[in-house]
Formats: sequence, structure tokens, C-alpha cells
Amino acid sequence: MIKVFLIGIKDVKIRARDPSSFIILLVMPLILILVLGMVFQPLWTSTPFTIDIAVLDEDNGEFSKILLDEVFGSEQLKDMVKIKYVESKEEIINEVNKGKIAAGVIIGKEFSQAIMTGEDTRIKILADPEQTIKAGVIKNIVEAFTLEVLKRRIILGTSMGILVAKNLINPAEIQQLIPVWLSEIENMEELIRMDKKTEKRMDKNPLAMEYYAVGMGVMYILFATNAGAETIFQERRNKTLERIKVAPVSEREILGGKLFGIFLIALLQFVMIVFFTRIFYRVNWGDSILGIIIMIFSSVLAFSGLSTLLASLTKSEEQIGNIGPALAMIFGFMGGGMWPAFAFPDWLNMVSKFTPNRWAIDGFLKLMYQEGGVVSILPEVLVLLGMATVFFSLGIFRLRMKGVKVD
Amino acid sequence: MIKKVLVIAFNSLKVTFRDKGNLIWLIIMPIVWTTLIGTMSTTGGGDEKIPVGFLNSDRGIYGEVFEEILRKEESIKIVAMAEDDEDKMRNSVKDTKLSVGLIIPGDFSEKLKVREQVVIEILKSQGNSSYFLEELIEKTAHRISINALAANFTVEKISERRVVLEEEVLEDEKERIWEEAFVKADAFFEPAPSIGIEYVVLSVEKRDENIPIGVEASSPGFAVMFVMMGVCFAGVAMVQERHHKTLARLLTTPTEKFSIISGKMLGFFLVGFIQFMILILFGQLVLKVNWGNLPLGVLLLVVSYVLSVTGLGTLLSVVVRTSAQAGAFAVLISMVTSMLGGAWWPIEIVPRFMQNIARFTPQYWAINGFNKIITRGFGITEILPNFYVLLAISTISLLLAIRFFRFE
Amino acid sequence: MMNIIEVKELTKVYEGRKAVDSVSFEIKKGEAFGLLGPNGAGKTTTISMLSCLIPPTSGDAHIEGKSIIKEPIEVKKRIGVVPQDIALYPTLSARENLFFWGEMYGLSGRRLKEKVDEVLQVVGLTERSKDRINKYSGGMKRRINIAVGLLPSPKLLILDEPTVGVDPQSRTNILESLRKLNKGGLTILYTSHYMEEVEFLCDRVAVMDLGKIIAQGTQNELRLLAGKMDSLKISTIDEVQMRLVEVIKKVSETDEVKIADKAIEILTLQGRKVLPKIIELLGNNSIRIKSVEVEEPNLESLFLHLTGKELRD
Repeated sequence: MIKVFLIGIKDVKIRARDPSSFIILLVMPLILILVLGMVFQPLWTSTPFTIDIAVLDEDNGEFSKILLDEVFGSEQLKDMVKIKYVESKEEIINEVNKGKIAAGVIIGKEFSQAIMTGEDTRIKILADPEQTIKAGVIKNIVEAFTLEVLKRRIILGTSMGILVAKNLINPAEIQQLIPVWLSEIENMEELIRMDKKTEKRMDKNPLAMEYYAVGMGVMYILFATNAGAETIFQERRNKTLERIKVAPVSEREILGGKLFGIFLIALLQFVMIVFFTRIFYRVNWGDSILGIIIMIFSSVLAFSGLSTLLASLTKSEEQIGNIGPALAMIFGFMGGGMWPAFAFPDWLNMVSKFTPNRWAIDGFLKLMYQEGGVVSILPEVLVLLGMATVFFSLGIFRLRMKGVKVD
Repeated sequence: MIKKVLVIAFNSLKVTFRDKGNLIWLIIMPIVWTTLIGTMSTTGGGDEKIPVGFLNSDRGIYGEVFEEILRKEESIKIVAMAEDDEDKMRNSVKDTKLSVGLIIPGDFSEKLKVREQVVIEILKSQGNSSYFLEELIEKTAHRISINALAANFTVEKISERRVVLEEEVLEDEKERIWEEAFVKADAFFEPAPSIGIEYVVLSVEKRDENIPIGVEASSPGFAVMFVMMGVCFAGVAMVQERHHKTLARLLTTPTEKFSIISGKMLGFFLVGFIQFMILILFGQLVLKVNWGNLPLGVLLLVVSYVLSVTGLGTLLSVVVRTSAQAGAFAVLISMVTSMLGGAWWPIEIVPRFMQNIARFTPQYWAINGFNKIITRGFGITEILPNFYVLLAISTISLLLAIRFFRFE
Repeated sequence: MMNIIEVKELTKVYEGRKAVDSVSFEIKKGEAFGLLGPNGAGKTTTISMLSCLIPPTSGDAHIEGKSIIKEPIEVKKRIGVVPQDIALYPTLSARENLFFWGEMYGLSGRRLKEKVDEVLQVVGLTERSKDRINKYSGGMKRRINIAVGLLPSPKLLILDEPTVGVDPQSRTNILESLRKLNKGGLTILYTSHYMEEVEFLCDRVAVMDLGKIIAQGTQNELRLLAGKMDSLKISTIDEVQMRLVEVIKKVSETDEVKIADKAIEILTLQGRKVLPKIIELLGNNSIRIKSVEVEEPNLESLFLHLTGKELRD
């Protein structure tokens, strides 16, 4: 049994001396976590971003002023929406085409007039196809404004219409009644209030940096275990396998040692990622140390199994060197390492449950954002261990069929 | 001399494509990746309708009116829930089987009629972006609210008037008038609100509804990323060639140094160029991605972009010592610069300072250029700046690569 | 006879250390010239300068009158180089490799095809030429490595330890082919730290150590330098008469002849040439021979003599 450990530890030593594996397994995930975290943090916490727009106010009337001064100029919006006033539609199109503004707002000449006289009118919004998210925000703001104006027209129009039809008011009175009624309408409050409730799966909203520390960290376990599995082939090439076989070590011990090496490399790598992200990115991996340890072990086991299976299915170092990282990236993505799985479409959500990544990520997130503690991760741990068992059995079976060949 | 350059380039092309592993990374992986991510981000844009749970406990009819108006929206699908299914709906929302859930209370109609505020509940799930749906529901609620206000106002005014005329208004007449006013008010919203907005996206043409927006956006982005990766991997091959000493042996043949270097670089360029063409063709033919109507412009961008990454790939191969290192850097550099350059997500969503960083990556200029052609429908003149910037990046990186080129 | 290559005081300094120190030699047309020395003697550096891979710090060399400094391309057109490493594309077939390198030497079309077939014939790998290099054994890779150097029909073939890591049988095979090529008129510059290879193949030899040529000449001249001659020890059944001393001296062109009743000891420069004559002489005098022992000084002993150390440390 001691030989199993010796072979494993030797593999770790060899890895540790190879600077390129250091880059692949430690520097790279840390950089990716940083980039992804920085990009998505403002989005996830919905920090307001600034939106540049251009406005062409041909109307210059009462209502266009309300929109520009009281809506866009309001406390809430004045720091978020930056307005540039322009003189022509061409100028707007030009600015949009340059990508300088997200949208251009055109208030036509007759806008205020049309509102007063009850004619149809529209505010035109020209959006940059590359900034449809920001343009969409502008669209909603302007639409809310027009709806507010429309509200007055509808209430006034409906009531006047019916009362006139019923001969309850004299058409001659109308001009005189309008301002009175309008002031009444002005103060009407919305009748329907919406109560938005988030059905929580987690007690806190995940921070992007923390989410990607988990997602990337888990994805890179597979990179690490693959690198470990490659050593089976490397050792064959360097003829050191031959040498181990000549020594009084059983085939079972060699295989066990190699698999232990795979596990150990990935374990170290992942622990280092947890450690570094905790210190440098201040990622809080949760309060339950026991839970974290259990999750680390079961995830690393599952991925070690996967790589063993992969090694048993490939023929050469090059093959596993090429398929391995590709698989790691695809699994990383499908398991929710790059994009939260709960935002997946149904089919992908289903498929993702076949990857160890999904369960590992879910488990870690539970520890980070739920109060359940160790007990709550039981399903994830069981699935991961189950996967580990299946992968290992198949992999070892196939590897033994092939024999740890020496040629 | 030209002939030797071509022979060297063709030879490294042969060596690159003969390696099965390279094929995985050059062709198969980008195709799988683009398809996967494309279909994922298609939700909401494609044929699939977003499921919205609707639980109506209203004793009156206006809950149903709410549902009817909502049903007219093409992008959503109403899933009606029975009154005692509230927990079931909550769970469905939690598991994202329903994008949002809506609960109309029992006194909805009653309260509307007496002009009292009524609360409807919107359930959403954590992390699921339902912003668009909330807007939609809010708009509908607003519409019903306005109608109800109009109806109440009308009834009030009629009562006032009748009091003046000393007539009494009967309760069931009030009811009738209320309903009539509601319908009349609602007519203001059909076919479109009489005061409203006209929203035009300044893209080249109306989208064909069958084209998944997700793939369309991700295809150029990921093509750009994987081409950089591909060229960098060709750089890895040159590290191997240094290791095999074939590069040094070339110097013993009567071949000019410059021919060797340009031959090698031409080889890298061709690898990237061929890969890009395959990915464009795959996108256009299989994923039905629209690559715009300016083949010449696309070609200019492809050529200048591939040139710029050729320089970077060569530089990489010159800087690193072992092919394992080169491989690691190839993936790292191409992924990170692609993320920064906007290949993974629209650049508009990232903070301003990161948008500025993006300008230092060739990916940004390529993607920006493709967008000019694909979404904005621009001509050659407008993409020339992108072309020039990419050429500048190419010149600098190629010169550096030539300066530091190592044969051993 | 005309000199194919003339090397004059070629020097290469690396970080203040003289890797090659004022090396001079020339090779005549049709000659096989050996550069012998231990690892790190500066052989590969010398070869690299001659094949224009690295510029010399000082000195120059001319190949058919073309300077390696001023006209490297002209030089490269005249030489075929076989590097120490198997510098071939492992994933391409032997034929693909040869075609590529042929084009690099400026061959094309029918001439290229003929030449490729010819060199494959020379190294005896015509049948396996469609296989990828990485499927080849070490010896076969070496043979293709040499074949590439033969492609340009060089005036001078430079080989840098072309038999490293090759099994004895392949080595013999390679050396035999090289000798055949040399006999066919090809000038060869051969470096090795295997004394036997150089002795087998080369007419003239330069011995290098620590960047310097410490001895140079034909194999015989070098042996002379070693200060030792071949020693022939003949023991006989019958007694050898003293009167034969003078005759033996005359036949073996040496004064160093000793006779003790049933033994003769001769020190001569040309042991192999002399031996048959002595045997004939003894036969004529009815002296039966019991045993003959020939001891020739070799390059190994020369090296030991010059430097006080073994060729292979």
C-alpha cells in the first residue's frame, strides 16, 4: 500500500517542478476568475451604468420639457442618462452609427400640440444595434412617460365622451371643464401595485467574483486531473513505467499509485485556488469548514474518476492532451461554470445535471449562500461520489483490460 | 525566393492539419462551442415562448381581462394555475420552470371598482433575468389601472351631474356605466396607444425571425477567439519545430533567413485564414448566421485580423521555451483577450474602463468591424478604420516577431 | 588536387570563452576528413560555422572559394549538412520530408523526383518511403536524416555525429554507405567522438580538444605523432638465428628489431604491410611460427598521448 502513496507523491513532485503546469492550473483560473468577476459584478449587483443618448427636440413644447427636465432630469436619472442635444436626425444617426450613443430620442414638432388636440403622436427612438440593452432602458423610460400622458387623455376622453353622450354635459361647457378635470386626474394614484417577490434558492445574491471562483475552480479540477492522467502516458514514453514494472510492484499498485497521483495533484490545485481566492479575492467559501472539505474531496474524486475513464478511452498523450482540455471547457460551460445554470434553457439545464461540474458548483453555492450547513449538501455529495464510483469502475476496468502496457 | 516561401508555408500548413489534435481545436471545438452557447442564449429571442404562471383568484371578471391582454403578447405563454396551486407555482418559479408567476387576489375586481389600491404578486426566481417580463406585466397592470381609473372617474362625474340634476343613480346602472367606460378606455390602447413611442433599431434589415439571435451574436465572436487560439497553436507547432531542430536545419539550406521567417508566418496566416473561412461557412450554411452583404469587407477584416494574431502567435512562439508552456499561454491569452475584446458578451455591458481596455485587443476591432457590416450594414469606408487599426497591430507585432525570431 | 574547403583560423567566442580557437584545416576533393574529439571539444560549433548557422567571431572559411561570411547562400548551395539531431518532420512521411527539403535546396520538378528516388536508394529505404518518420526506428530516421544532406548533390557533405544513438548494425550500414559514397567521389567532413568510425572512414583526421586542433594529418602521420610504432611480436617453435636480424630490419624498414631465441619483436610504422613479408621470410628459413601478436597505436592512444585523457570521459 505504501508504494501506492510513493508513486502518487512522486507524480505530484514532477508536476510541481513544471512551470507550464503552474500556469495552466493556477495562474490561468485566477486570471479568469478576476476578469469574469470584474465584468459581471456590476451587472449582478445592478450598479447603475451610464447611458449616453442624443435628443432632438423639435417640439420645444410643454410636454417635451416635462420629459427632458422632469423625467430625464430627475434625481434618479440625471446621473445615469447623459443627454447630448442635437439639431438633426442625421446627426443622431451619425452618432448611433459611430456607437457613441445608445439611442437617439426624437420629439417631433407637433408633439405637445398633438397631445392637446387629441391627435395620435409618437416619440421616435433610434437604437444602436450594438447597445440594445441600454437602448431598451431608454425605451422603457420614455414609454412610461408617454403612458402617463396617455392616462390623462384616456380618463378625460372616456369620461367626457360618455357624459356628452348621455347629455349630462353641454358641449359648450367642455373647454371650461377640461382644466378642472385634468387637475383632478393629475392626483390620481395607480390602482394596481405590484409586489415583487424573489423565490429564493439562496439566502444571499451571489457575488460574481464568488460565483466564478466556484465555477472556474471546479472547471479547473478537470484540467488538473487530466494533466494527472497524462502522466500515465508520459511514464510509458519515458520508459519509467517499464522500470517501475521491473521493480517488485504489482500492477494493481502501479495503477493505484497513478490514480492516487491524479487525485492528489487535483486536490492540491483546488485547495490552492480556494486558498488564493479567499485571500486575494476575498471569496467567502462558507462557514462550514467540514462542508467545504467534504465538497472538495467529493468533487476532486468525481473528476479524478472522469479523467481515469478518459485515460482508459484514449490512446496517447497527444490524444488526451487535446480531448482533455476541450472536454473540460465544454463541461465547465454546461455545468454552469461560465454562465449560471439556473439561467439555462430547460434542455441545457437537464443536460448539465450529467456533468460533475453542476453538482459541485451547486454544492459549493449552498455552503456559501445557504444556512443549511453540512446536511444541505448531502444530495450533491452523494451524486458526486456516485459519479466517482461509476467513472472509476469503468476506467479501471478498461485500463486493466488494456493492461498498464509497456512497449 | 517566393517559391520557397510558399513551399515553407504550405509545409507548415500540412504539418498543422495533419495533427489530429489540432483539428479538434481548430475546427471541432469552435463549432461545438458556438452551437452550444448560441442555442443557450437563444431563449427569449427564438421560437420558444417564455412560460408565465398565472394564478387568478379574482371573484370578478377583471382578472380574466388581465390574462386576456397578457395573452396577446407573442413572446410569452400563459400557464393558468388553479387557485389552490400556489405552492406548486412557487416551486415551479424557484426551479425556473416558470420564468415568473403572477397572483391576482380575490378582491381584484372589487377593489378596482371602488377605486382602492390592489396588490398583485409577482414571483420571480433568483438569478433568472426576468426584467423583460416584469416590464410587460407592469405595462398591462398600468393599462388596467388607467381603464379602471377612467371608469371610476366617469361614474363619479355622472353621479355628480345627476345630483345636480337631482336624479338618482341606481347601483346596477353604475355597474353598467363602469363597465362601458372601462371598455371605452381600453380602446385607446388598440391597435396601439394613441400617444406612444416608435422604437427603431438601426440595424441593416429586419431580422428573419427564424434566425436565433444567440448564434448570430456568438458566431463572429467565437470565430474570432478560436482563430486566435488556432494561430497560437500553430505557434506551438513552431516551438516543436525548434525542438526538432528542423528550423535550424532550414538555415543550412541555401534559403534566405527572411524567406524562412516569412514562409513560417505565411503558414500561420494560412492556418488562421482557412480556419476562419471554415467557421464563417459553417456559421452561414449550418447555423444560418447572417454575415452581412459585404463579402469584401468581411474579407478585409478577416485578413487583417488573422495577420495581427499571426504576429502575436509568432511572438508567443518566440517568447516561450517549451510547447507545453506555449499551449498553456495560447489558451490563456486567447481566452482572456477575447473576453476583454467583446467576443463573449456585448461590450456595452461592461464598465467603461473595461471598454477602454478592450480597444487594445485585436478582437475588439474585428468584432466591431463585423458588427458594422452585419448589424449596421455599413460599406467599406466605415470599416476602413478597423482595418487600419488591425493592420497597425499586425505591423507592430510582426516586426517584433521578426526582430526576436529564434531558430534554436 | 584542389581544395574543396579551406578553413583559416576560425574562432568562436561565447561569453568570453573560446569554444573554437583558431581552427585551420583544408579538405581536398574526394577526401573523407574526420574531425575527432570528445563531447564539448568544439566540433559542432565548427560545423555550425562552416554550414553558416552561426557567424565566426574571427577567421574565415572558403568552400570552393566562397566565403562563409560573405557569401553564405553560395556556400550553402555547395554543401549538404547532416545535423546531429534528427531534424525531420515526424508527422510527414520520408518522401514528403525529402520533397520539402529538396525544394529548400532549390530542386524542383522531375529533377527533384529523380533525386529523391536516388537518395532513397542510397540509404536503402525506397520501400518504406511512404511511412511517417515517427513510425521509423532510430536507425532508419538517421538514414533519412543523411539522405536529406545528399539531396543537393553537394560538393561537400558535412556530417555531425550522424550515428548517435544507433544500434551497431545500423551504424555499420550507415558507415558502409558513406564509404561507398566517398569512393564514388563525394568529399566528406565527418565529426565523431567514436575513434573506430573515423579510422574506418577517414583518410585524414584532425583531433580537437578544448576548441583547438591539437593534431592533424593522415592516420599514419598521426600515429607517428603518437611516438609509437606498430609492434609485431612473433613467437616461433624453431629458434631464430641472429643472422636474420639485418634481413628483417631491411624488410620492415626499421632498426627496431630484437631477437631472443624463440621470439622476434619488431617496431615498425607499417605493421600490417610488413607482417606478410616477415612471415614469408621466416617460412623461407624453415622457422615455424607459434603465434603472432600485432599491436597498433590508434587515435585513442594518440589522444591519450596528446592530452593525457581519454576520448570518452
